[in-house]
Amino acid sequence: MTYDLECVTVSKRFGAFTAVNDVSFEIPSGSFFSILGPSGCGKTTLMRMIAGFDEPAAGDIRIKGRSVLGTPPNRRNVKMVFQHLALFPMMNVAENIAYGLRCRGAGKAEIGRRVADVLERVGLPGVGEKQINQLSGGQKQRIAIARCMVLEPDVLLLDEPLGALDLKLRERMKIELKLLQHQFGTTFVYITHDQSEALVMSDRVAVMNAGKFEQVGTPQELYHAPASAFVAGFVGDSNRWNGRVTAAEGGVLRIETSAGVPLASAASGCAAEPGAAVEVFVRPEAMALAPPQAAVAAGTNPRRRHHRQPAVQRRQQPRAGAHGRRRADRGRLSHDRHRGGSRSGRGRGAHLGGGADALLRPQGVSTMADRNAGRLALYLLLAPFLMWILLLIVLPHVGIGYLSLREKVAPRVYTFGFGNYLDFISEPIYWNTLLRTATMSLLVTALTLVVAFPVGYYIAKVARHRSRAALFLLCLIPLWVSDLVRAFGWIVLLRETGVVSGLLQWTGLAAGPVELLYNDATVVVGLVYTVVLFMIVPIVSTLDGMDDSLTEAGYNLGGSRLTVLRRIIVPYAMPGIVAGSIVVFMLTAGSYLTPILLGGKNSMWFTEQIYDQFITRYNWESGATFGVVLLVFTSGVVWLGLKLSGQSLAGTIARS
Amino acid sequence: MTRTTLLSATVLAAALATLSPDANAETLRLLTWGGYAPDKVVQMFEEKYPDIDVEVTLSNNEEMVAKLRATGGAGYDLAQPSHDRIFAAQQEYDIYKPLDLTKVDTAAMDDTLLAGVKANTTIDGKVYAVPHQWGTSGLMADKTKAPDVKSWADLCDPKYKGKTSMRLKRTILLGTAFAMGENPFDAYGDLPKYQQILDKVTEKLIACKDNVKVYWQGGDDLANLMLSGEVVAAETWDSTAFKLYGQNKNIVFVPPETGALAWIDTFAIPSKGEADDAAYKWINFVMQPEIVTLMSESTGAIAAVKGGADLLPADKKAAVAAAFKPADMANLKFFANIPPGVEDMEGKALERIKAATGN
Repeated sequence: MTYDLECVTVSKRFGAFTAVNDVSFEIPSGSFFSILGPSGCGKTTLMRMIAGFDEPAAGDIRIKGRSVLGTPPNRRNVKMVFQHLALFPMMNVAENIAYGLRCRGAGKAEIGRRVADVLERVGLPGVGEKQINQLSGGQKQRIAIARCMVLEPDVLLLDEPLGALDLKLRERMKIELKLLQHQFGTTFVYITHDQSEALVMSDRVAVMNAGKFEQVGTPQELYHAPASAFVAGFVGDSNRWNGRVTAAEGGVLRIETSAGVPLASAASGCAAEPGAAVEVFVRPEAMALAPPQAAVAAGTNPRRRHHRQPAVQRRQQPRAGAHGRRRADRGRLSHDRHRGGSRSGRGRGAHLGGGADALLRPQGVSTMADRNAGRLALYLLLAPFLMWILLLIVLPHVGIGYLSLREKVAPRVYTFGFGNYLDFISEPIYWNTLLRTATMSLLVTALTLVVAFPVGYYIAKVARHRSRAALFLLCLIPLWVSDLVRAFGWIVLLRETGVVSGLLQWTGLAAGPVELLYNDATVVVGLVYTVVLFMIVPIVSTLDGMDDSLTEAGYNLGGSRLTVLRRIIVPYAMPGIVAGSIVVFMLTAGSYLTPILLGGKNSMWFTEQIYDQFITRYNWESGATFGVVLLVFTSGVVWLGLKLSGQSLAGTIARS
Repeated sequence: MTRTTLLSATVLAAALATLSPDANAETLRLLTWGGYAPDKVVQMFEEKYPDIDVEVTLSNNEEMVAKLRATGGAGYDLAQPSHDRIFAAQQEYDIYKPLDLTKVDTAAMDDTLLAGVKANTTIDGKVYAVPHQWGTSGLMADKTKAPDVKSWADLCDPKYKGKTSMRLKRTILLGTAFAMGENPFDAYGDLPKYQQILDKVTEKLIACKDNVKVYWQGGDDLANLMLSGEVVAAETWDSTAFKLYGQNKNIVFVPPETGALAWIDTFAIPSKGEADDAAYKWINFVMQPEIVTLMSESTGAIAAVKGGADLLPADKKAAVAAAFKPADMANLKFFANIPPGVEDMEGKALERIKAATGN
């Protein structure tokens, strides 16, 4: 018989810590298999090895009978539903589902058909055009499953996908998941720490503890015939006593608990000698209360018999099935109650609720006044900045706008109109310079992006704390040195008789002196260096917010590294990229010193043109006009950039 | 003492403390060129007039006018524009006030230069400036590498392709016009004619772009280019050339055959200046012979006092002697007053040259 998934003596160590210790199991086709264990037991590590994100230190993993060791995640036909689902927020529902198909190179028509089909099957026909954030929690769940199932995987891994849902929805989704699994007929491997999830849905459950499987069996077996004390304690709800065997006779163990209560139990499978220390687990449903007079005969009355678990199992066996499932459902609640150490769990909860209300009410009254005062203080704190904007941005621009409309007829004689703008348009020198500046600025922006993106990605996703700070400092260096000093430094380095030219001649790479200054390339390189930080920061801040499981989902669904970069990481970082590009473009188009000092006789920058109008020609009117033109032009370019990248200004600002 | 009175007493004391030094002292805010207010001279002036603080802002012709225009003549108490930059700026923007010549020690000044500046800066019978220092713009060449440079046009000689430099300002327009046989100053009275000259000059300088290595921005980068040998011939201020002569005797100032262009930097008082007396004190102070030598050492220019050239420091005297023959002195072309509108025409010509794509 072939199994969909087999693990053979799989182990994984992290340093001295053994996360997964010699685990073996196999799952027959079409079954629902759960791995149940407390957090830290190694179940997530096991799942990551199956998915291919980690390689086992020893052992073998086989899918459909073929070892997948060394196969990268995107080439394993194992798909995964992540804990937080990892739906791609920058794609709509249909695009999310189509992602894996596109990675496989499916045709457009086929993709459309299969996406519609799988949406139908998860009961959400027609939601393809919705955005992810328009879906409810349960819908997201189903889309995450559909995204995997559309690829017809051999095995579907689910990593506690219900954890983020509220209690009611979680209960409903348990049923739905089971139905979906039944409907698709695919092997599901479900990871959870929640026994009720495992017991309700699974055909078989593995209970995992400290890197090992304690027991693998049906929910009924785990409940009624736990193989170890850990399983007995972890699965279902139990009363637990420590005690000592006083006598063993005729298949019945007589036990006295440490509190001195005598118990009798069927000894099935437990070969304890008198005097041995034992732990006794008793399911609550195995106990019944007797009338007080009967208590006198405690320990001898068969109806008041306390059972060890084998006895419980015997009593419950005929009532397995639907009833057992309901019991298991309630297990979680009773478990909580048990841990609270008080029978009044619910009452206490209600009480707490009332207390919270009482606490909130007086606050609600006082916050009205407080909030107003807070608002006022906030506005006062904002005021200096707003004054700043008004005085240094708004008023000067009003002045510039006024000047640009003023036309000089004779000394101290003016009229008003659009003559200055007409002059600008009719003079090719001006708009040629503007277009040249814009082209160069776009080039600088593109180059900065190419340089900054890997750095930003490294800082956000790879670097540790200290190298992260060091990298940021490195990017800050350009801002520490004044423009002027920096540019003169480069002149010394790059000039014909400078250091670099000398090095090139010395190494034989150049025959004679090389002039590296005074050309467009030097200007571009210089500007890129100056502005690179302004690109890195927004990219880091968007990528910082990206859940790593998004990239893992990208690989898992079949994307190569390049695909994941192109289709997931870059689109996710897009708001940061756009924000950075806007800042870099504006800084570059408006820069003055660097282009002048590094640029040659043919490298005229538009700001130089503006300077000349004001200072050399004393023509403030046309200088102002040029200023307005630059403002409008850069705004236009930014608007176009936003349009082309599909971002909105508000969205870009909000997300970066 | 209550807290309030303590507080107000403190505030009062603090206010007095900040006010008191200013109560007697006057500040002289000087808007001038780099080197025109050397620390030594400022220190000596403040010793002589302990109640005057000198505050120096360094600038150039274009920025001086722009700054004063922006404030309507406020913010500075004494400015030093060149003689040809005053008349039109005053007519258009009213940024200077007339001088009281009785407060200036005009007897110490060189008669010719004083008469020239007065003629250039008199509006409605009022004089707006007196001369301070003068110098010329011309050519600079490394004799060993460019021995026969003698005309503005030689900067465009293909022999020196990629090895010449100029400053893209009005001086090179005027120099090139002279080299083409025109007299631009004569054409100032006939602007359409001047435009024709400018068009020819523009065309010539665009064609010359290919020959130029880089347009220099300030004295320092020009000095760098010459000393490193990356440039062998350039337009220059004579003071820059004289400085380099001190470091390399092969680098000399060459008065162009059509005549070096002479400028006179002046003293003019901004219309909203607040320390006129201190300004007059400064003017008279720096025109004293012993100060003149200190000043010339710092500026490299010649003071507009009687026998100014003799008061140059020894090394500068030698450089001037190496550069100028008596015939060159006689051939000086003083910058003529710039009439309104000319600056805009010239600015446009410069833009054309700058924006043109060379090959």
